[in-house]
Amino acid sequence: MKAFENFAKGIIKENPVLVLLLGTCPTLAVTTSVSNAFGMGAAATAVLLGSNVAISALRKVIPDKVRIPSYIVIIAAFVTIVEMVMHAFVPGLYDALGVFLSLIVVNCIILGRAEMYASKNGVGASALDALGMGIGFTLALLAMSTIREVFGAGSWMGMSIPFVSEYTVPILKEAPGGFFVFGCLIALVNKFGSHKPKKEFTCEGCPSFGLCGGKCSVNDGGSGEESEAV
Amino acid sequence: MKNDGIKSIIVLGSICLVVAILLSSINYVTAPIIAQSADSAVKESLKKVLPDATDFEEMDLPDGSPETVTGVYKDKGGSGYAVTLSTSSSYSQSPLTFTLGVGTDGKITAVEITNYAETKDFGSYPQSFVGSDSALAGVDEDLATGATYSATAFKNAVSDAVSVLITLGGVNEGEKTEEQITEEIMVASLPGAVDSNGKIRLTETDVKIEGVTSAFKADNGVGYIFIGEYNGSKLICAVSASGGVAVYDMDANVVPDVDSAFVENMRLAADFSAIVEKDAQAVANVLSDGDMLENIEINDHFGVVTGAYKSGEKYYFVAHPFGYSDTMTITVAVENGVISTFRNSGELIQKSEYYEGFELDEKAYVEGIIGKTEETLTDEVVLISGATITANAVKTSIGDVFKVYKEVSAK
Repeated sequence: MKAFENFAKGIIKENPVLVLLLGTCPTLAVTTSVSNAFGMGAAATAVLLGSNVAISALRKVIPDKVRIPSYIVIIAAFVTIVEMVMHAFVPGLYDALGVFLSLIVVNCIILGRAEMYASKNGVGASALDALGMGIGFTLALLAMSTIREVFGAGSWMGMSIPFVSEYTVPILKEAPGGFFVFGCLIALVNKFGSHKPKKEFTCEGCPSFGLCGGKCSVNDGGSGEESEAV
Repeated sequence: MKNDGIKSIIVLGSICLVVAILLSSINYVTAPIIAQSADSAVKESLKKVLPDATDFEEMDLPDGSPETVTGVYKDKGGSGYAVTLSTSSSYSQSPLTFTLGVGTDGKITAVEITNYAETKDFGSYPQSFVGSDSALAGVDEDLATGATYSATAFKNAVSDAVSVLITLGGVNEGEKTEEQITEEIMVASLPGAVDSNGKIRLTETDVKIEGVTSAFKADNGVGYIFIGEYNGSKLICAVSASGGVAVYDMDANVVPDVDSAFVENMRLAADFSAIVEKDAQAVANVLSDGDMLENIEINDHFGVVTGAYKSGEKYYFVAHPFGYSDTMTITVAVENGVISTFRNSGELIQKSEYYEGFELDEKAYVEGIIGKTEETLTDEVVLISGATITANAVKTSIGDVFKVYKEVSAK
């Protein structure tokens, strides 16, 4: 049961895009079409799964001082693998995703999960966490891209939809439309989501927490609530 | 503490090593597939332009082939050739790539665009090449309005492709139509009526002269072109506003012994009263008080300069090149080989010509031209970023002015 909860939390309760607000850049960029969104979601999930498993397996070996460089090397390796495989087997999708594929390396979701979860938990739990988060990311992208493609271009997965295609709202395909849909989806999830984000969203979730122990927020006159939460 | 540092180095180094081995082994597997898929993308475009082809054989490109031609493929079944091309339009960063199918008769059978990144759609322009041979007759340049740079680059690339095939002995040179030959001679005989895209801009006029079948007036008023018959052969006669007359035959050779009455009739039929009046007005606008003006005759000039005047040591010239949307009237004064006045009637550049973000300080631009000689007036001085057509018009005008200046000042 705990395993299922571990897996399911990323889908709605702690959805990386709509609740934790991570990975916003690719979310806005690739959600102009459903096929691109699906490709990006699948690529990010594969990287997330690979890096979470590898980091979790190596968590006791990697010294604290070099953990961030080590995580980045591991994540970059998986991104490059996904890139090479995609270039070889799905060249159309590889061309469509362009630079955003390489930018998965700096996607906050991947590094965030490595630091917050995989480095502290076992391989199985980390794999489930990665799958849940990856699916949550993909579903958020699919929801956003469906709205943008259907109402912005009058099609879904490139297939034209009768009637709707005659009354499109082209701004939805542009950046302002992306922000608008993104905002609406966040509002919906906040309204109907059963739980607020957990305290991983606080100071403890910061990649530098291990070094400063939450002192920075006190010194900077930062949020007292966050310090107490730590 | 020291051990921690060493451990960190060993762990990070080992991770990097494992990652490097992993990536190189995956690259070993995927690289041939990626190369194969790029190759099959090319093959696919070959198949699209020559659907009846059985198998393709890549041919060696001859030495000195243009860079635009990236590959020539021959159908082993003998249906024709496919040429892959890549050209830069200098408008867009991304190259324009396409594949051309050419039949054994030298005629273009199909055009397949594989990459096109200009903002304005090409429309049906590329397809207008289908059916033409190396002479490129029947190409409709009006179909590419708004994508001029790419259209020119495209046409040049097609010419390159066909010329490489001719060099390889694959196809024979195509015959130019009479219409094409006539246009080429018209361009050569009256260059002043040619716009910055290399197209001659004429309007047919109704002139009744014995032996003349059609008459055209240049849209910028710099001359007339008459097409007629003399002693049973077709002739093309250019009459320029500055008084020059030249007669060509259909081999583009000058015909010297044409009946003077026939030529005189054409000279009289060419009405230049409007441009003469415009020139006098343009010069009057730049004259200082009390300057006495003398009209100078120019011999055999067919460029954009239509009028020349002299006041003391100063020579005034008026030119009418094609601007961005209208004919310009540029007045240039030259004194001892140095430009002393440069003026365009009205605003030099229309706002609509600029790309967004560009704007010219016209006063500084004109000041940059004044004081220059033919040698010191470089392309950098004339260049206007974001307004190429106007810059070309200025360059043509000043070039023609110096040509005429040399002739009249030597007298």
